[in-house]
Amino acid sequence: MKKTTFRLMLRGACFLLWVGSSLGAQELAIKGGRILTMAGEPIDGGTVLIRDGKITAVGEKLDIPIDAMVIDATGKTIMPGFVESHSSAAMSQSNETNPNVPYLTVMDSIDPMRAYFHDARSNGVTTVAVVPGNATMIGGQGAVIKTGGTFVEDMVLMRNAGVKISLKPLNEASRMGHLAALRLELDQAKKLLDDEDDGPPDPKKEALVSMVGGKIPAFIYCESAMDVAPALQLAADYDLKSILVLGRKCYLAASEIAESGQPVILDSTLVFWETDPRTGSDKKIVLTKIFQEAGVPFTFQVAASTTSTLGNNFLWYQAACAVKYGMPVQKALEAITLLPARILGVDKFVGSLEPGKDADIVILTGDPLLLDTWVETTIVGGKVVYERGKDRKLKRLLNGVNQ
Amino acid sequence: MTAIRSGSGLTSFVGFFVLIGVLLLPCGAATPAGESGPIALTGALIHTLTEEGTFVGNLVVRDGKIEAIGADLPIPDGIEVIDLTGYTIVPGLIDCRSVLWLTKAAIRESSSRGALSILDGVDPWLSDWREVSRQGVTAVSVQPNDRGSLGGHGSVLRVAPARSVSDLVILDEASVQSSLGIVGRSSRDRFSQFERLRKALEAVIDGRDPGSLGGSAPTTGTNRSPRGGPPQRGDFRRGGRRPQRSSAPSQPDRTKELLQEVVDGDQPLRLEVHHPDALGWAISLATELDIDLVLEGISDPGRALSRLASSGIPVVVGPIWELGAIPDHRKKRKDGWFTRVTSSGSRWALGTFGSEGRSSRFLRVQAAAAVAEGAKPEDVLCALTKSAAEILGVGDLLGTLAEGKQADLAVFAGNPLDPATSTRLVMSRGQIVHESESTPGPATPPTPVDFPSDLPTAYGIHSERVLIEGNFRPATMMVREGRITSLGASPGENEIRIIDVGSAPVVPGLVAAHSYLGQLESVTDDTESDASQFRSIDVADLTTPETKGMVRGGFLHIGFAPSSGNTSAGVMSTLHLEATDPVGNATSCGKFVLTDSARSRDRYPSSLGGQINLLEEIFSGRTSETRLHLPMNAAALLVADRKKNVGAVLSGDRPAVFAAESRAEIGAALDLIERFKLRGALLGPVKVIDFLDRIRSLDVAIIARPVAPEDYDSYPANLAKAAARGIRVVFAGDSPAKIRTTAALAVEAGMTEEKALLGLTGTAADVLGMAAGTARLQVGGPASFVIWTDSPLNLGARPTSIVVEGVIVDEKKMKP
Amino acid sequence: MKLAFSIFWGALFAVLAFFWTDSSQARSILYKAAIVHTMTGNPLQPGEVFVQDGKIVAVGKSVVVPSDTKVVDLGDVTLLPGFIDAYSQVGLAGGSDESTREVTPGFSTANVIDWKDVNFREALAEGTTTLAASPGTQNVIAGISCVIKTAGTASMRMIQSDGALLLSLCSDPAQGNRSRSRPDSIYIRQPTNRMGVVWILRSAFDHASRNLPFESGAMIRESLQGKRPVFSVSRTTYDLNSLLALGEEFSFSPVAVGGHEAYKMAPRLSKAKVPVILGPLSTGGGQGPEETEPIWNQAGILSRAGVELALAGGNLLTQARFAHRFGLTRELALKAVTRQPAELLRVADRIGSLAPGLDADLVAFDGDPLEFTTAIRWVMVDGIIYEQQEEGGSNEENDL
Repeated sequence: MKKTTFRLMLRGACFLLWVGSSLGAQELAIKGGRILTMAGEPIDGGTVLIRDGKITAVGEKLDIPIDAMVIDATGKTIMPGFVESHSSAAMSQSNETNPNVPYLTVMDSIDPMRAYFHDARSNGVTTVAVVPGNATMIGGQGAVIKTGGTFVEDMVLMRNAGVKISLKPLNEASRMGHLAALRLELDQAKKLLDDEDDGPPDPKKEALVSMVGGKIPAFIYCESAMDVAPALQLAADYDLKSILVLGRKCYLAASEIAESGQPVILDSTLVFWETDPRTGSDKKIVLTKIFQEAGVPFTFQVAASTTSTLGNNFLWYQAACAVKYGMPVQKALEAITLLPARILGVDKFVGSLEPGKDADIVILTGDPLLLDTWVETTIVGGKVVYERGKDRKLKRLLNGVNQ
Repeated sequence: MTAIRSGSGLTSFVGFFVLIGVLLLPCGAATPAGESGPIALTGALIHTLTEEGTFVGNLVVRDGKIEAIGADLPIPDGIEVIDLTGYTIVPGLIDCRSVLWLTKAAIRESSSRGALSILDGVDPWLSDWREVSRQGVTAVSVQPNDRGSLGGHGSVLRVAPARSVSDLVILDEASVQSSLGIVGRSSRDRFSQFERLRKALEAVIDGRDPGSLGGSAPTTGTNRSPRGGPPQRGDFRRGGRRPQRSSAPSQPDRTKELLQEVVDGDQPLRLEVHHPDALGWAISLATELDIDLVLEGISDPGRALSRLASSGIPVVVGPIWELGAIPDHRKKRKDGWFTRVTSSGSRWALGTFGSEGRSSRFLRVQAAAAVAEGAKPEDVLCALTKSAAEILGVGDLLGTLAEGKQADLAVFAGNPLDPATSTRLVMSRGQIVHESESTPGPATPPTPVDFPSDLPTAYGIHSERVLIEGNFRPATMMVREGRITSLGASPGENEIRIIDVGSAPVVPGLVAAHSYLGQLESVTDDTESDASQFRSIDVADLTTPETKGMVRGGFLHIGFAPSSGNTSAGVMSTLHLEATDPVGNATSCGKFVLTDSARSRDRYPSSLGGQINLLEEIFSGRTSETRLHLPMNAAALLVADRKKNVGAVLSGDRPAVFAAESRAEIGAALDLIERFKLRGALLGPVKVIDFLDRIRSLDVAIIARPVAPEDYDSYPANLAKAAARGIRVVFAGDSPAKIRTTAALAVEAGMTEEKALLGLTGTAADVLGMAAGTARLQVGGPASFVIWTDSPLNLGARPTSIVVEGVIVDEKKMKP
Repeated sequence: MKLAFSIFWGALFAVLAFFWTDSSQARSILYKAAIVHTMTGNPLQPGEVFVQDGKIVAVGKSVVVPSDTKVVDLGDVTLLPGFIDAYSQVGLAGGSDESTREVTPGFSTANVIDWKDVNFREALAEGTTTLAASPGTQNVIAGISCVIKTAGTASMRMIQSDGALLLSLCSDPAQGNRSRSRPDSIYIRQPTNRMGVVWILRSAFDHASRNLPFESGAMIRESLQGKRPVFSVSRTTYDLNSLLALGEEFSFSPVAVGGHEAYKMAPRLSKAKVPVILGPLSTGGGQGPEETEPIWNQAGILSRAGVELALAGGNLLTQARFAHRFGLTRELALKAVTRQPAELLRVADRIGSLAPGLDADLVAFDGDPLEFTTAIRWVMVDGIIYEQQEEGGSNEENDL
């Protein structure tokens, strides 16, 4: 009996795959829902038209082509898919043992079968910047990829999305040696950049050279506030197009970051307490409030999914947390869609619902960030990659194994 | 090649942030925190450290500089005036060897690579400067640590709030760091280190490549000299530091660069040496190669003393009193080394050589120690300011108070060299970085007195300052056959010789309320957590250098304790050093430990809850057996001993001393004291502030452990608050320096001198249950007292004569 | 009975305060809110809570108070009883286990509380006003918890110093122990596996119930007889089965703590009337050394089967929100952090609901308490307001 069910499901899945792949060339219309385009005012009861994986039109009274497949989203909310700006969860291993590996690329480490991708789709994340972890000095090149697909090559949106640099000293060593070693590498890269015609390019240095030239961004991880100034200095000295990835203690330097105009990616722990060792008084630190008040544009990271996490392993939850501490809903939604797309340099393709952009769409059961709101459908490049009704993992998590 | 699709997304990306940047500009233009307008400081005694000398006058600060200074200086209209009449202004104090602002990892990192920049190890968000600034210190010299043959540059930094490293830097490249004989033990090690340094310098002078000195070339753990210290974790993995890369043309040759700077005289070579041989070589190096040298850390000038004197090489000395853990290369320092080094006549400055950022708060303690060692106060003040600035190469900015100099200064309520004197305000670059309410006190430096070297059986002593119940009063004390026969305004018997010591204080022998006398090993036994049967008196050795050091430091009464390794630690005893019968009370107090030093995962208990349960069992007589494998009657005797000792505590015959530091431990100790109605004392409570009412109502005393480098100012401040509530505060420690420093800092934090002096004398004797009259000058009591150059609370004071039971303690006998 | 008693005292107090003291006026305040969840019945919309001297004097849609009583209209605020964490290690200092022994019923957490631990403040800011500081799970019989408030003066904060007896019927006590290599060693720890855990527990119960000499035997016996709650940290089905078996064997009714796999045997637990204290909930991987399977909606599954359940282990508000998202009803989600833990800890006559005579421990929300985006306006403990937030969610410094 069970076996039959399984077979049936398998067949169903095959059928879906077939339908899905044939749909890509066709037209898709999502109608009836409340559309949060992130590029203008919300549209109630509007329609999103999609052709060949791109959005062709977004509006109130659009004619739906006769041959378009229609998704009725009446009563639901239609949004651009969420963009996660810094994650190592898609990688089979986030850090190398060698601390200096700018020539490596996460493309070789992404496993599309990892649970991360299912979880990302089921939580509305359609684009993710896969970036090496914080425990490597120069950790290799990140890539911006879509969360739907079977092979990495089909998922990639931007192959060389930037080089990861960590200012956190290795093995609790000192920052002196770490920065000295880092500068040495950057000096060499700059030298190579300056005398470009000197022989054939060194493939091992290529990424670093393009980073030093500002061609590709540098994700700079700052563990504590004291790392912020060196990070900004490095950016200035080597013409880096930097994206600061902040540890939680970096909030002390919020005004310095604001002066620099740098966008930042916040630590996954947005709220924590500190005790003053002199007075013994406790203070609640809310990162979103501090950076909002300092005028720093920020987006979020999520926590690694360990046993102790609840909430902050979801990107949308981070936005909800920011709203709880006073951020307007619209800004919080931008911080998980358009803003990270801009930070990553992919806002031409994703981050909002506008004609010409990729059809990366999430359909929510209700208003975003509410308790009872779930991701109903996730669409990547015009293809449905997630439907809640067919999410067996979710069913198991909600109903238990024996049910 | 960057992106699969066209890169125009990047353009909008850049545009977006340019826009944001423009929007943010107005917020970024805020003025640096704490910048203040022009200020006039009026009416204070000003030590200018210039040819103008010392005078009462005014000083005007504008734009971070001293605009004008003078005795009758008119004050410009409309500027803020701070009336400092009665206070003393000195140039901001300078610690010439500090680790302030450095991260823990930077302090630890072996900087045998010249390419490292100490400024990369500076964390401007650290808050340790608060404790340091409070002591009037406005500048520190931070350097790569002393393990390497060649470190990078040392820098001079401010002691002020900062938001970036550049806010802090006074001089970024102040010296080039090197050392001889910090690592490696033998003279041969030192010589080979020296030879490498000399050859490298010679090579640079000759225009050759000095090669690697453990300097710029990548040093991994494997190619370091075998005795060059253990390889640091992380060295192996540090990025790109692979041999093939060292030959890359872009590799900057920092060894040559650094040594070139030294050879060119741009900055001195800062060389730490400790042994006489290394000192001698270093002097030869400086004279033969004609390079600027600053020596530091000298422990023993030995035979090189005269050469040091003639060389004129400046010296950074310290620490004179060790208040933290002592590193190996300073363990063998002999008494009097400081006097020998400074007697050479070389210019000298002081460094705290600490291990924690907050260690620099002890700069004034070190200065006082220098005075106590016999240095002239004016020389010490010069060492802290003018000499320090000149040696660090910032003499044009700091170190003196003169027109045009940077407005770094400290205002004290009295003698700047007395750490018990509080700081009224501290200014760094014209910015007030510390301010407190304090009333001006006398600024009298201590004075030595003449005292006979031998005493008759009957004599009198008159002083303007005899310490009676915590207060100095003029009195004449008559002594006959070791006892005080009278104490009052006039001598009782006419024909007896009266020795007048003027204003030199006459003080009873001080009390170290809890001490191991350097015998920690013999009072430690961790077999069983219930060690109630142990008695410290059984292992007391009064011939150790530490014991003699106590006597020389004016401490004659000791609460000798078993170690804190067991929950029921055993019985403390009281000792009267140099007395005919040195054993005061063999069984004075029971000691119980609630701190984690008595917790062990290998035996019961491993937790505070377990410690409390064990003590409850012990106090309610429920423990009846030992788990030791002993013959049956021996076990029975042992248990009987335990019960006897605990019984004496429960009956109130003996006080119960509870070691407790954290809030939970203090709370638990007080619960036990209350529940079992004990005569209690708390040993080393740190987080005591929430318990003062309870401590007061239970009449529990506080035995204060020494101030440690890692303490915040709240520790001595809490002691002061406790004393103000009427709680008895007495002092613990293994050395006179540590105990007196704790008392002095408590006074600086607001404890009355009376309470502090009683805590060092009579009150401590009471808390430990010593015989009535111990550590007090009273008729009928033993004539055990010490003549000091000033109050023992002034750390610059020292004992000049020590009298026990009427007889002068032989100085020579006291020498180790 | 107890409740009636406290109502009587509350009323008496109110009368006395009203007639005899002037200063009491400042301490008696009527709070008006849009919604009041009393947890004793349906929510009041709107509702009023009359607080006097740290106690609730009256609750209702409209409360009659003396004419000069201070009235605070909270507007669009929802009031709830302060949350109660029935299983927490917050505030324990110097080790939460006496791990040199296996059976430490005498280990009382009431002795080792650091009352100023920052985690109290953190819990308070999240709406938790009371927690049961419980020993850890290293020992088979771990000790006694105590029930304390997260704010107030130390003497006032202890509600129950002799709380629940904590057992660890799970794999934790067997972690990291070695078999006996030296037979003469006196410092060796048992057990080395789960069988050992159950054996130690059974023999302890056996000794205790048969009056054989045993450390704190009387205390264990009384606990089994129901003098205090018996909590057992048990996560997996086999641990829970062992717990039910021991419960029948020694006829005591335990409360399961942790209970990650309890959902798999919800009907049995319901039939045996064994409540479950879940938590901390997680959306991540497996729990405990047993690495139980991830599950999101244990709470919903258990409640549908009729198992009484509370949420514990920190972040109560977030836990309640997610439990509701995953399937627990709104009412039970709120009850699971208020009245239910109060009942399991046997302190429902003082806290856990809003009724006359109970402590004035309240949480004020700027909206629906279960929404992720709703901020806490303030938290009240014994009538005193802490953690006051300005409108719009910013935090005003309010030192304890």
